[in-house]
Amino acid sequence: MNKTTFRSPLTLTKKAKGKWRELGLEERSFFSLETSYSVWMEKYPGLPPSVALFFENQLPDGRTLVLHCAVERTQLIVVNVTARAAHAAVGTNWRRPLDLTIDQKLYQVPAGLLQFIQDMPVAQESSDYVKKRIASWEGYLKIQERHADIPDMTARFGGITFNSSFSRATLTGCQLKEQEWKSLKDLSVKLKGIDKEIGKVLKANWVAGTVEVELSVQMADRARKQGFDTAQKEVTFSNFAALSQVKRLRQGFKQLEDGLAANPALEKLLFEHKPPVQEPKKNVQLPFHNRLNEFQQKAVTGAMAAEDLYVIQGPPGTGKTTVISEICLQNARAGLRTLVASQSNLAVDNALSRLLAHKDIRILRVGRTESIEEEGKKFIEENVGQYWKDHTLEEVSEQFDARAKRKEAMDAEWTANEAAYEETEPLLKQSEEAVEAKKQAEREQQEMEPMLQELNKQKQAAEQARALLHQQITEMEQSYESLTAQIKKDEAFLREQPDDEATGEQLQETINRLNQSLKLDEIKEHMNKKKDAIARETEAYEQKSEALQQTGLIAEKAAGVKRIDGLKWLMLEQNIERTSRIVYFMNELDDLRTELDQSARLRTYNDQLSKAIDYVEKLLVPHRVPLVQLKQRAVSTPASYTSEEIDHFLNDLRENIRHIDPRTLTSYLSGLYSRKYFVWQRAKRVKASDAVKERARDTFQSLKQEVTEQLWQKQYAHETSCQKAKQSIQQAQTELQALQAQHNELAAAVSYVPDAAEQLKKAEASLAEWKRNAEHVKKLKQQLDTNREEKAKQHAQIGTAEQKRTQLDIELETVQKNIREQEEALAVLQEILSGSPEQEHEALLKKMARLSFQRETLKQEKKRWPLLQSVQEKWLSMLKDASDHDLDEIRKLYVKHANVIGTTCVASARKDFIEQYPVFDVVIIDEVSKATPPELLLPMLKGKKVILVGDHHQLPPLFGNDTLEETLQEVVKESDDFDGKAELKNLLKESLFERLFHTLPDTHKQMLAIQYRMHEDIMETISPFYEGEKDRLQCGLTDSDADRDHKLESPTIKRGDHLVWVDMPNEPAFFEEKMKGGKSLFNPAELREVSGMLTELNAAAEKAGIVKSVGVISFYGEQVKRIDRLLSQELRLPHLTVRTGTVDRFQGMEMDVILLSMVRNHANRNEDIGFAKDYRRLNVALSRAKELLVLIGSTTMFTERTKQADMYKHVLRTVKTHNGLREVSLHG
Amino acid sequence: MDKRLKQLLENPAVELKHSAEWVLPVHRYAVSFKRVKRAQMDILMKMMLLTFQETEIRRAANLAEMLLVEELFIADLMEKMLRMGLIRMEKGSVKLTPKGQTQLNEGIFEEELDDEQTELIYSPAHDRFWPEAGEAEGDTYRYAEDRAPNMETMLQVLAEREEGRLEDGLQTVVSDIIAAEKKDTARVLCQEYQLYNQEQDVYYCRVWNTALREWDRVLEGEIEEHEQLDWRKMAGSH
Repeated sequence: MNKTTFRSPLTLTKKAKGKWRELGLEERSFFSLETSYSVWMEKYPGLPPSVALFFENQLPDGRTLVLHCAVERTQLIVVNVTARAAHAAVGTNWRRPLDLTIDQKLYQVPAGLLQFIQDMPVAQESSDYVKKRIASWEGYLKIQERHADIPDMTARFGGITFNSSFSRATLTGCQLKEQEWKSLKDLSVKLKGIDKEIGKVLKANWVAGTVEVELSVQMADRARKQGFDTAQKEVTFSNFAALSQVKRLRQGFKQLEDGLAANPALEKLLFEHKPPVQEPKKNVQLPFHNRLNEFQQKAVTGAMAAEDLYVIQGPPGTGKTTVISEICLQNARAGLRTLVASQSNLAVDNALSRLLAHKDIRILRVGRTESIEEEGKKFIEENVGQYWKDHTLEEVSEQFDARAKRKEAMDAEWTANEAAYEETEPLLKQSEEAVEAKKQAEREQQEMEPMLQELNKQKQAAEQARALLHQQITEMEQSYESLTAQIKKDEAFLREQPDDEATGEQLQETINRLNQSLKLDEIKEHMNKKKDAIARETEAYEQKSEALQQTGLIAEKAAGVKRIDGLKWLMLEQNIERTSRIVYFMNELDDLRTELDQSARLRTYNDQLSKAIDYVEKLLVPHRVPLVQLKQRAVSTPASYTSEEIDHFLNDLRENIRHIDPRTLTSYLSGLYSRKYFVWQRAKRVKASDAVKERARDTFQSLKQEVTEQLWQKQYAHETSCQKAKQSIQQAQTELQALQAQHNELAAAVSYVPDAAEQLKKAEASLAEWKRNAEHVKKLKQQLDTNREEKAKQHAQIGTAEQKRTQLDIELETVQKNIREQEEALAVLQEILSGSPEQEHEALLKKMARLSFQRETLKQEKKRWPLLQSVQEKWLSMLKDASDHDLDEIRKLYVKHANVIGTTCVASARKDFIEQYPVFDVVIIDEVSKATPPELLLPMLKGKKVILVGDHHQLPPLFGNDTLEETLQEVVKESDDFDGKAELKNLLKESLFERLFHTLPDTHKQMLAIQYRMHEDIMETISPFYEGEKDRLQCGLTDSDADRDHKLESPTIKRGDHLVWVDMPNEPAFFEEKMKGGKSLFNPAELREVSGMLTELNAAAEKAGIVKSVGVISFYGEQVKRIDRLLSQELRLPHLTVRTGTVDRFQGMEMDVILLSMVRNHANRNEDIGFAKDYRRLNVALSRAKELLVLIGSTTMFTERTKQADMYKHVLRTVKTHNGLREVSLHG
Repeated sequence: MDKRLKQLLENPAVELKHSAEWVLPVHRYAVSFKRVKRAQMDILMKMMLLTFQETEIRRAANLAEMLLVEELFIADLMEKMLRMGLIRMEKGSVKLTPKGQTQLNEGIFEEELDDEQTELIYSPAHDRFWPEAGEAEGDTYRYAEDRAPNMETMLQVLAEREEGRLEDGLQTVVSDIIAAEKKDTARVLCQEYQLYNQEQDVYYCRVWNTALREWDRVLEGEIEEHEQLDWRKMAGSH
C-alpha cells in the first residue's frame, strides 16, 4: 500500500495527558521532535469524525501506543491514550497506514488529511459486514463444537490388550460414569506414565466396559516392546485436539473480521453473490515444463493471470496434481512463494510427492511429524537437508558419470572433426576454384554477348537489304516488261489515228454565228422593258402635279383663319403634325382661357361679398361694433375657402339674416371680411384680363404661323417630286433610242436563226469531244517518248542492282561464318555456367563453420572437462561424506528459500506457522470440496492470491462416519435458536466451491475435462455427473484398450472386459446384515463374492505373470473391516497388491482394478440405499479404477428399489452395453 | 504361566492354539574401519571456497551450474562470505582472502585415525544390524535363510554408532570399512504363540524376540504368511 505523508497539529485533553503520564511517556520529547511517525489509522463510526492512531512499538515495553482522537478542522484532539499488546496486529485491512508529523505551528488540519479520513472505511462497519456474513458458517463450527466442551475424563482401567497387528488397543475394565461413556468417541487417549497420547477412541462399549483405541504407528511399535506396561492403570480421555481445532477455526473468523486477510478483498470474494474479482493480467504466455493438455494449459495460464482468485474443477483422473505442480514451478520461477494446503495430511503429502523434483522448487512440509505420511516425510524441516543432498548427489553423479563417459566420445569427436576438416578443406578449395572459373566464364560471356548481338544485327541488316534488293529487281523487271508492252500498244494505237485540224475550226464558226443571233433576241427584249417603264412614270408625274395644286390652296386658306376652332379643324383635316411648338401654343391658349374664366368668377364673388358686407355693416351700425378692428382681425387670420363653401356661407347668411342677434351677426361679418379678403387675395394673383386677352391673340398668331409653315413645306416637297419624275422620263426615252440603234445595226449584220439556242448546245458538245480526242493523242505521243527513255533507263538499273546483290551475298556469308564461330565459343562457356558450384561452396563453407564451431566447443569442453570433473568429483565425495551437521547450513538455506510450503488447512493457522509465514503470494488449496468453509478460510487468509482445486461432484466433508448433510440436519434439529439455520440449508444445497465455480467469470475458473485414468468404458459410467458443466468429460487415452489392457483372463473376467457388474439377487440369502448392537451394515454374500473374485484375479495375474494393484472398496465401514479380515486370515494373493477402504477414504486414489462391494440389499420398503444414494459417493466409487471396475451388488436393489435409481440405471445400461453383466446363481 | 502369555490371553476371546520355542540364527561380523577427524564445516561453503581457489568464478550462476545447486543458495552464501571477509571481488572474479584461505585450510584438514575394529550383529531374517545377540540352544527357526549384509547399510550403522562431535569444532567421521568378516553365528531365543480370537474369527501369532525384547513383527509376518491358512484348515478339520 502506498503511504501518504501528512502534517497535523495535535493536542491532548487533560484526561489524555493523565493517561500519557500513566504510560510513562515523555510528552515533550514525543511532540517537540520533528519526527515523522509511521502510524496506522482506524476510523470510528459516527460524526463528528474520530479516529485512532496506532504507533507500533512506541512504548518502552514494545507495546503499541494508541491515540484516540476527535477530528476537528483546527486540530486533532487526543481524548484518550491506550496501549495494545505488542503481538496484536496493527496493520489491518480496515486501517490505513500513513506517515504523520505532528506540527503544532499549523493552524488547521490539512485538507488532504481530512479527505484521507473521509475516504477511509469505518473499521466497525467492515467488521460487522464480515460478522453478519460469516454467521452462515457458524453451523460448521457448531458441528465441531458439539462435543468439544467435554472436560477431560480420568478413569482407572483393568488391563490392555492389542489386536493382532498392534494397530488397536483395547482398554478393559474402564471405570467411567454412564454419561461419560457416550461422549468418548474420537477423544484422544493418554495413559499415565506415557507422556504422549496413544491414539483416539474408536469405540466405547459401556456394557463390556471396554474402550477400543486406534494407535498411532509410534505407539504400535511401543506396544510391541511392552511399553504399555505402566505401573498405574489410569487413562485420561481428552478433547484437547478437537478443541484446539475449533479454536483455530474461530480464530480464522476473527481474523477476517479484524481485516487481517492477506487479500483485502477476501471477504467480498467469499460472500458477495458476484465475487468482485479483479481483471486478470492480459496476454500471459508461459513456457510449460510439464506436458499439459489444452484444459490444463488454460488452467495454469488462468491461475497465473488471475490477481486474486482462481478455481479449478478437476474431475477424477484429470491431472489436477500436474496442474498444481506446474503452477508451483511457474510461481517458483517468478520468485513467488506458494502454500499448498489441503484438508487432510494425506492429500497434502500426496500433492507434494507428485510435484516435480526440480531444483527451482524447494518444498517444505510443515506439520506434526507423526501425522505426516511417508510421502511427505522427506520434505519436513529435519529431512530437507537430506532430501536436498540426495537430490543434488543424484544430479551431480548423473552429470559426472555422463561427463566421464564423454571423454572417449569427445576424443572420438575430436578425431572425427579433424578428419572431416581435412577432408573438407581440399573440397572447399576445389569448389572455390570452380566458383572462380564460373565467374570468369560469366565475364567472358558478358563480353561476347554484345559482339554476337552486333553480328546478328549485321546479319539481319544484310539479309533485310538483300531481300529488299531482290524485291526491287523483281519489281523493276516487272515494270520493264509492262513498259515494253505499253509502248507496243501505244504505237499500234497511234498508227490508226487520222489528222483533222479543220473539223475543229468549222465547229467554232458555227458557234460564233449562233451567238450573234442570240444577242439580237436579247436587245429586243431589253427595249420592250424600257417602253413599259416610261409609260408607268408618266402616269405618276401627272398625279403629283395635281397634289401640288391642292396644297397651295390649303395654305392660302390657313392664312385666312381667324378663330382657334377653325384652325384646329384645319389641322385635323390636313393631318398636320403636332410638333412640340404647336402643342405648347395650344396648351397656352387653353390656360389663358381658364384664367379669363376664373377672374370673372372672383369678380362675381367679390361683388356678392361686398354687397353682403355693406348690408351687414349697416345692420350693425346701431350696435356700435368696432368694424375696423373686426376687419383687421379677420384679415390677419389666414384662411382659405372653396367656392362651394363661400356659396354655402352666403346662403346661410341670407336665410338667417333676419333672426340673428347682433353678436352672431358680428361673427358673420368677420366671416365675410375673411372671405372677401381671401377672394381679393386670389384675384390679386389672377392677372388683369386685358393682358391675358392680348397674350391669347399673340399665341393664336404664332400657332397659325406654325401650321401655315407646315403646309408650305408640304407644297415644296410636292414640287420637288414632280421635277424628279419629269427628269426620269426623259432619261428612259434617251436609253430606248440607244437600244433601237444597236438593234438595227446588229440585225443588218446577222442572219437570224430562230432555234439558235438549241443548235448552239449541240455545236458546243461536238467541239468539246473533238478537243478531248486531240488532247489524248497529243498526250499519248508524249508518253510514248517518255516510256522509251524510261525503258532504256530501267534496263541499266536492273544491271546495277544485280551486281549489288551478288556483293551482298558475299558479305552475308562472312557474317554468318563469324556468328557460327561465336556461338560455338559461347556454348563452351554455357556449359561452365550451367553448373552451380556456389551451392556446393556454400554447403562446404557451412560445413566448415560447423566443424569449426564443433571444434571450438569441443576445445572448450576438453579444456573445462578436467576442471568440472575434478570439482564435481570433490563435490560428490563431499556430499557423500556429509554429516548431519555438515548439512545444517543447507537445511537453513533451504528453509529460508523454501518456496512451496505444504500443510493442512488447520495447521496453517498454527501460531508458529503464522509467525514464520504470515503471508503467501499464492495459496493453492487442493481437494477443496472435502473441506468445510471455516477450514478453507484459514489458508485463504494467508494468500494474496488463492487457487482452489476441487470437484464438487466428488465427496463433501465428512464428520466421523456421517456425511455433512446428516450431521447438519442433526444440528439444525438440535438447536432451534440457531441464527444461521436458513443460510446453512443454502450451504447444503451448494458448497462454497460450487458456488464460486458457478458465479465466477470464465476468466477465473477452468474445468479440466480430459481424464487419463479410466478406460473409456469406466469413464462412461460417470459422464452424466459432468453433463451440466461447460465441457464434456473426455477420455485422454488414445487407445483405451491398449493403454488399459489388464491382461487378465478368468472365468468371470475376459481380457476385453473393463466394466463388470456381478448381480446379487434381491433375495434373503443375499441380503445385508446389521452388526449386533451397532448400526453399521455388512453383506456376507458379497464378501463371498469378493473373496471368489480376488482368488480368480490372483490366478489370472499369476498366469499373465504380472502383479496388479487392486482396491476393494465399499460404501460401509463394517464391510471393509470384514474384507480386511478376509484378506489377512483367509486369502493369500501374492500376485495382487490389495488395498481396502471405504469409498470416502479412497477419494484421490487410483488402482488398476477396483472391486466395489455395494452392501445394500433388502426387501424393506421403509429403507433405502443409505450412503449409496449420494451421487458424489457413487462418482468417487466408480472413478477409482484404471483398467477394470467390478461392481458387486444387487441390480434390482439399486435400479428399481430406490429413489436414486436413475444414476444406477445409467451404470447398468453402460455395463450391459459392454456385456459386463454377470449373474450369480441363487444358491451360489 | 509366562507373564507375557498371560497378557496375550487377557482378552477372554483369545485362545492359545500352540506355542513353541526355537532359535534364530544371527551372524557376528568382525569389522575393521577407518575414521577421520575433521572440522565441522558447512559443505557447500567449503566446496565454494575450494572452487574459488581452483578456478575463476564471476557470478553465482557459474558456480550454481557447476555444482548443480540453487543459484539462490550460492548467492546467499557468497554474500555471507563477502560479509565475513572470506572472499573479495577482484577484477570481476571471486578471490579468496587470506582469512578465507585459512578457513579453507582448516575446513579441508583431515586427520586419519588409526584403524579400528568392532563387532556387528546381523540378522539375515530381518536384514538389520542389532546391537546384541543372545546365545541359546534349540531348534533353528524353520524359515531361516542366509544372506550377506549390504556394505552401505553397514557403513550407515557404523556412522550412527561411531561418529560424533568433538571439541574445537571438530568431528569424527567413519570414512571407510576396511574389512568385514563373518566370525560366527549366534542364536537368539524366540518364543512363538499361535493364537485365535474367537470374537473376530482371527488366527494370528506372536513371536517374542529375546534379543530385541519385543514382539517381532518380521518373524510374525513370515510365519503367518506361510501358515495362517493351514491353521484355519486344521481347525476346520477338527
